[in-house]
Amino acid sequence: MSGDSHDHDHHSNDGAVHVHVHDVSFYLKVFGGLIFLTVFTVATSYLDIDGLVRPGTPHGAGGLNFLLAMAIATCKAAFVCTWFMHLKDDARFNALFFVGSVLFAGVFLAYTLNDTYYRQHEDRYQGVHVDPSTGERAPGGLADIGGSCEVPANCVSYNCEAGRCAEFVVHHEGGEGHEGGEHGEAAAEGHEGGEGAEAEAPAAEGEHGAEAAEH
Amino acid sequence: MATATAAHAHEPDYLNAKTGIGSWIYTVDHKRLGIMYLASILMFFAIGGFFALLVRIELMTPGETIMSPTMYNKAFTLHGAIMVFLFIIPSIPGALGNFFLPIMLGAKDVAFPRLNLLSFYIYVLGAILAVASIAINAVDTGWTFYTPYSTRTDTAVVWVTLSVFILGFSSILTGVNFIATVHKLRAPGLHWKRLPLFVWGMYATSVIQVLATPVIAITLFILIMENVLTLGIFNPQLGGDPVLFQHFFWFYSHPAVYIMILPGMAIVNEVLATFSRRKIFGYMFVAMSSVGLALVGFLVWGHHMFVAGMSEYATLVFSALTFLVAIPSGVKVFNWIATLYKGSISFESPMLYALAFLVLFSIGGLTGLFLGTLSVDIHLHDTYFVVAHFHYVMVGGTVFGFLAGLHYWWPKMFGRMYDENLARVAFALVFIGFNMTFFTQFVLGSQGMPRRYYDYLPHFAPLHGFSSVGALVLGAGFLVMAFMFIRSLASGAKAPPNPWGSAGYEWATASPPIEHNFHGQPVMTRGPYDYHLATDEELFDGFPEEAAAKE
Amino acid sequence: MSADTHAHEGHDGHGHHGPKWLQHHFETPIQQFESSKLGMWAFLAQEILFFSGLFVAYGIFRIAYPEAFAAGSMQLNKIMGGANTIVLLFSSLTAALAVRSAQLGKKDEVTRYLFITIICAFGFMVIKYFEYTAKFEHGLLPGIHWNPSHLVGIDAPLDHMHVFFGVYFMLTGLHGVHVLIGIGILFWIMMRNHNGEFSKEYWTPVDLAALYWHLVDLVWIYLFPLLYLI
Repeated sequence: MSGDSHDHDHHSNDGAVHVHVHDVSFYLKVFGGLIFLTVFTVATSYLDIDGLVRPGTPHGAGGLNFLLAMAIATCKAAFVCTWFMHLKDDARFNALFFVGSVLFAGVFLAYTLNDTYYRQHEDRYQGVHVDPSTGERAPGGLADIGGSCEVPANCVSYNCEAGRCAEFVVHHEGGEGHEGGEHGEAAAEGHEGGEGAEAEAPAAEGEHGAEAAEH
Repeated sequence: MATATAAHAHEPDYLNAKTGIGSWIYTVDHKRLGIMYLASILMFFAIGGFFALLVRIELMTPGETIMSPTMYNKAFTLHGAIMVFLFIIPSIPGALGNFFLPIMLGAKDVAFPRLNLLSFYIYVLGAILAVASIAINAVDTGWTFYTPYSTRTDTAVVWVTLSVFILGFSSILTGVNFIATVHKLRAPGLHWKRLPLFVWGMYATSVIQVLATPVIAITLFILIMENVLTLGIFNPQLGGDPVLFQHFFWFYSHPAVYIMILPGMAIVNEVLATFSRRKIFGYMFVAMSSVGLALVGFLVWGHHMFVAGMSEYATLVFSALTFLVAIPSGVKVFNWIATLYKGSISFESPMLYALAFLVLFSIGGLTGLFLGTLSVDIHLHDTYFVVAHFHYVMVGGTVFGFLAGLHYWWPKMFGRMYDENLARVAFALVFIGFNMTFFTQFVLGSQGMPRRYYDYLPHFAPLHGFSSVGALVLGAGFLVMAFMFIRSLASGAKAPPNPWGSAGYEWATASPPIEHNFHGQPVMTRGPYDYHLATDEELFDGFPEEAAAKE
Repeated sequence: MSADTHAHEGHDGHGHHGPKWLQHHFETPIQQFESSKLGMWAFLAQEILFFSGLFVAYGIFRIAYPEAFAAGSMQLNKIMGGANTIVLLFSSLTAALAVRSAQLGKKDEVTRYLFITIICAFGFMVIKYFEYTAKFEHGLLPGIHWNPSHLVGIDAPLDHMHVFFGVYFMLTGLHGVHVLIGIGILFWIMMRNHNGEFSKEYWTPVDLAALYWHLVDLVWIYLFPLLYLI
């Protein structure tokens, strides 16, 4: 098994590849486990576990269904990695590298969530308020997909269907280069964020305060 | 292949071992691929430099100097995109890494030679697409392709992002190749504590290439699909989050600056050791700081987004983590200085570039701390201060490191010496021109000059003018250097195997090396910086045959 | 030191008169095998991070638009998704068995197992095809193409439901592309095996192809619950 795969500069090695060969029945058992877990996870998806644990919780709101499904998926993934992919018998470094890649993906998710999850909180220091549920006051602004076609104030020729601005007003001074002054359109959605901005830069006009604070 | 040394005394070098165009196009020899990368990246360096000059000439005077605002937006975008994706990222790993990594390991080739060839052609394909995008409708988004502008502009965003997507796979495959090579193809006796620091640097770089580059690939793929199909992931008009694009982009692009700088640092190790004839001070610390930088580099990407509207919790965490980067960087700088201490230093051109690297990288690195400080960044963000910081690290760091390596290994790669005096003239022009251009921009930035602007207030004019003159001096330096290298290829003196008297492993083979790098399998019995263990014969900087004839 | 370039007398003294599948720059079969495995695992690590972007997008928007994601998930067919999961798991089993047979040098068995794996891969794509056409017919499409005509479990489309389908089509589409590439690779390896390129001593390519195929399976193991179940 694992003892068979030495580093190549071990002199005891004859240089040939030796691996432990498992029985067919072993692979069938692993497969059986995987099928069982698949059926099990589908079955639990019909249950409202949050409601069972704490009656009255809206379906899915407690996150227990999610956690269980992810735990089962991770079990299945571990089965595949360990035995089908022979990670158990493989060089330790290969396992480290692969698991490391999952950890980096975790860092990616966790840090990004640390931003988006808390982003609705008022940010008085920067005077910027980006609400991810509407994209409101996001750099570049928005025009709501469902609503009427709002032509951005800085746009000369606007394509409503594609939601694209074909030609922008060129600002030579102030503003944000080619994206300058796009915050104008956010006015359509009302602007709670404007208050923070005005508090920071009372001289600036309305939502342009946020922009002024950036520079 | 038999192993006796004498029988192969006149084996042809890798340049002459095979002939004809086909022997280059289909080659799997890592040295020839290194040369092909070198030619490609130098070409794109020249093109990127051309756009840089256009930008600086436009900015020489306020108002329109030579081009319209639209053209200017395209010029700075092309300068950035070409320099980053087609020059810096593939430069040292693709050209010098490919050439020297297997030699320094005492291997005949990289672990996967055909994959190496594939990687080069993927690079070529990406480069062709990038050039095609200029012809279609050059992008004006800046090299970062930020949404929502990049989902709105009518320029060829899809083409150029597709190009970067493809280039990414070239980078990934090179990384995979190097990791396997370093782990499995080390010569007998070459354990991890004897590994040349260039190899350590390339190894750390490869880890980043493999773990970070796929994220830019998926990011740009989503961006392409957002443009072609519309998805609502990055496009705020469809409920997407444009700041999410910045997270995705910088999850790659921050580690990517370590893809750029680590190889530069790696070369500086080799050059400093050789020209001060000393063992690298704190070898394991320097090696581990490379790996440390590679890993810490993944945790700090948010410092590019402090004013993008991130949550304040995220900004605090990212700002605090950013300071971690200073630790391994500081370890390196202090160890390099300690290496120089009491060394027998000589100032050949590679050493000049390496010493310039120390100064310029220190300036670039320390100003990075200003920018990582949350409150200071609010003022400095998107100003010329950032531009200057970035160029001090990327040009003062990576490009100077690359030039140090190019001068250092030129005799080994081509078997020709170059004109040292001309090289020093080029160095002086490049060093002075670079500092004129970019030190000025620190001042401009701290006074509030925003980056990427076409026009500026009249009181910035003197500094802008000075910076542009510096850029012309810098350009002149590169022209002298190009002339110097071309003349070396045409009529340079024949190079001995070890012209610098280095104890490094790569100097043990002929200049230029034979097709399989070494006659037989080398066995490493000492470290690459063990000058106290190296014999006079190993450090001899002339032609061994002539020395033998004299005796 | 190395400069002396000692003749290395390791491994029964010969230079490179090894088997023809041993590339010239490797000293021993085990060195070639371990290099290939390490390279493949590094490649698989990059695949994880390649997919990670879409998983992160899923996580962000699931938290941003929980109702829309729940409603979007309801539009997917759990039975078809479950069936596809079982098809892929079975193909993973046959891929693992193909490697086992290759390790034992049983050429015909390898071809048979790889063939079953390829059939399963096509089966997966066929089921996917039916799912996709249903979504197209019902107008459950991302972005500006969103035009729902048939909804399950809800009366009217919710805001931002199209974002769920944006993520859904990106994730399953990219996974589908990997399945198609996998079919190509498995077919290529099957033909090489059929031509007798592999033996009890040399079966690395079969192993690597199977590793890639297992990764495709791994991604689906997470996609299935994330998209269909919760």
